[in-house]
Amino acid sequence: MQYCYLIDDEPIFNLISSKIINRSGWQGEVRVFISARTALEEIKMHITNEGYLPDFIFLDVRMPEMDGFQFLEELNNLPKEPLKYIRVFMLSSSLDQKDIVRSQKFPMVKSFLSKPLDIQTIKEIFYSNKINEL
Amino acid sequence: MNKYVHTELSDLTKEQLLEYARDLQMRVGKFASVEQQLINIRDRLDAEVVIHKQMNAFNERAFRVNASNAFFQLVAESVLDIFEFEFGIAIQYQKGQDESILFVTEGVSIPKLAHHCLVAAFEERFEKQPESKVIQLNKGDWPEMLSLIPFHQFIVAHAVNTEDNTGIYVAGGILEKGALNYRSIEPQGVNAFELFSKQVISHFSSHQKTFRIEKSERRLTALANTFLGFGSVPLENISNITMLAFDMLAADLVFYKHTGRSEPVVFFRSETIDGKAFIDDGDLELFYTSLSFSEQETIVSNYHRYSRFLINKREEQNDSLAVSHLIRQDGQLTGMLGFCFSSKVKVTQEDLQIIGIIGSAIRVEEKRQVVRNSLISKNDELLKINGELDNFVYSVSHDLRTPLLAVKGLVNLIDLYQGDIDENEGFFKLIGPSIDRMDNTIIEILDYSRNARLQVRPELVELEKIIRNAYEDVRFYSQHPVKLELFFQDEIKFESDRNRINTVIKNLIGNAVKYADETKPNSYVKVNVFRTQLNLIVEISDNGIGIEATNLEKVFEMFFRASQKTTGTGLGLYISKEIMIKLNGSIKLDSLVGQGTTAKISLPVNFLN
Repeated sequence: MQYCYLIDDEPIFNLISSKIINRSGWQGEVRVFISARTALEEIKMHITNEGYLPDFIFLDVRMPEMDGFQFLEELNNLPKEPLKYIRVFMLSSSLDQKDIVRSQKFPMVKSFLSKPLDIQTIKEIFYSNKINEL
Repeated sequence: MNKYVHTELSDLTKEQLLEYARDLQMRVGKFASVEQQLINIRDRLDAEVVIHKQMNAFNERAFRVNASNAFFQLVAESVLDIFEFEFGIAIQYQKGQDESILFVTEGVSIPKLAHHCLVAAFEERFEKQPESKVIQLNKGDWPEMLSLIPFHQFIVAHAVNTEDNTGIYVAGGILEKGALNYRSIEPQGVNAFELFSKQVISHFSSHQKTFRIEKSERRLTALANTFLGFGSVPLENISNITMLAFDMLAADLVFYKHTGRSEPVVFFRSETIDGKAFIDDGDLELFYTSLSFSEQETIVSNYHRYSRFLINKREEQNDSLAVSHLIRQDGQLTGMLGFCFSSKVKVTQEDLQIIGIIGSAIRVEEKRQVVRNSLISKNDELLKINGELDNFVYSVSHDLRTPLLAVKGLVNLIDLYQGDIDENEGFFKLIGPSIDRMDNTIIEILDYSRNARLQVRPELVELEKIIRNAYEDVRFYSQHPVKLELFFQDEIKFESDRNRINTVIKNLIGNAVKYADETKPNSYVKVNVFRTQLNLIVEISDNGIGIEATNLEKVFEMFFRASQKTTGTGLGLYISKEIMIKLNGSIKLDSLVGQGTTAKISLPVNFLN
């Protein structure tokens, strides 16, 4: 079973993303978080049980309390080995160059995408190996 | 002679022949001596020609030399060229002073001790033989000097210019070989050497003026270079500047005092002057206050007065002399630069000018630094504003795009879920709030822009009406009912900027509604209006979800959102704070999570009339 986390403080984008994923025919389980901290706690909880760790994370950049980058920093502080299969995709309302450059410092981040998520991108991410090279 | 020519040898007797032979021999001998004399005369003339040629060469070069050091170096070298001594020495001194400057030809070094020893020996010898212009000094005369300089003999000429009290010694040193040219014209060598020394002193005297100008130019160039070299922070390198000035001016003590420092900064203190006793803060202040205002501007010319002042303080009349430059800025004494000279040094007008230049340069630099500091702080301010602007543009574009992108996503979904009427109905319902949110963001940005742009316009403010209207506008932000409770101390009408106050009130009541605690059955927003002696106070409190203590400071920051509960823009409280600043008022938040929040705005009473 594969897991996909959607982390965005605005429920509407989580809704849009999950509906798109639903339509793509992907068979995994989508989990929705409106707080990056809650998502982080979830990951910490499953860190000893790799089977429950997410395979994909769609992560918003700007969020109150803990933003996308703070979330990535926290992940970096966790043991590397259990988290090595996690692929993070940044989802942002703005394609700010500074944010893109900043996200490249995290090896876990595979791509920086503009909202809203669309069906073609989802299919590429889930079914194409090309994404590994990003 | 004729008798030999016209007489046949055969006619002569043997005796006669012998007699002739003897006579001839004697005549030949006489001729040889005459010939030798002629040769000697020719050689001496040759040597004299060489000497005069060399002296002419010296004269020509001496005319072109324009620095004192180079001139005396030329003199020393010329002793060698003209007289073929093994080394040449030139010594310059000022009458009445112990110090002298020694120049010697290349390849010979004379230690300081030997320098003094040499001058003393020359002096003593000339005192013993006052009529002589040239003396000879043999190694036997000064055996102790042999350990310092290897020499066999010195030929020394002495010349003095009584007009400017300068004197010179010109000396040729002999080690082993002797002085070929000098010896070859003896006894004329002495005269030639004396002539040479006279030429030297005459050149030197005529050059003195040029030398002095050149010297001051060199000082000025060095000064200019120093200031250029120090670039933008000469004040921090003031010791270097003054040390340089010390070198140039031969001051025994250089100090710089800035009013910010309690002690004067003394950069150089010679062994002979006790700087602490010489100068102290009290002295400087006392001296400064003893001057009239106009004098403070041009203190350089008053150095004599200052020296007298200091000398009186020290009661050591002849020991020292001081020059001071006071630095004035906006009529205030900001600092002073002092040069204390030993009484041996004759301080010239030009020295004073140089001190003046250093002083002005420091003054200019102090001003420049003041300007520079203000520029730096302005620059920091601009950087901050620029950063805010950058953040503003980023956030505005983000906040405007977010609802737009949500609409785009929903439209995509409607396309993807064609035929699924239930799903599509849900998507359509979500489009409305996104568009509202975009509209709200635009309105708030307009509020912000209006506050920043428009003048404050005092007009009658009917607070009760504003509060009630605001509540009506925002009460449906939440589906959970929130009751308005309004308390007025008494009827308050006042003048202020109605639009701005409206914006603040609407924001605060809107927050109370948006962040109401839906778990509580009796949610309320309580507005309490009252006057204190100085201010009009509007207190807006609710029993909503509250704000965490760590976020309480940040809520006034632009685009900060403490809650994930709603889709606020993060601008409301920021704009409210900005407006209160514009109205000379203040805004404060108190909150407890789970209990509620109280916003308190305060407007100055002087707006009330």
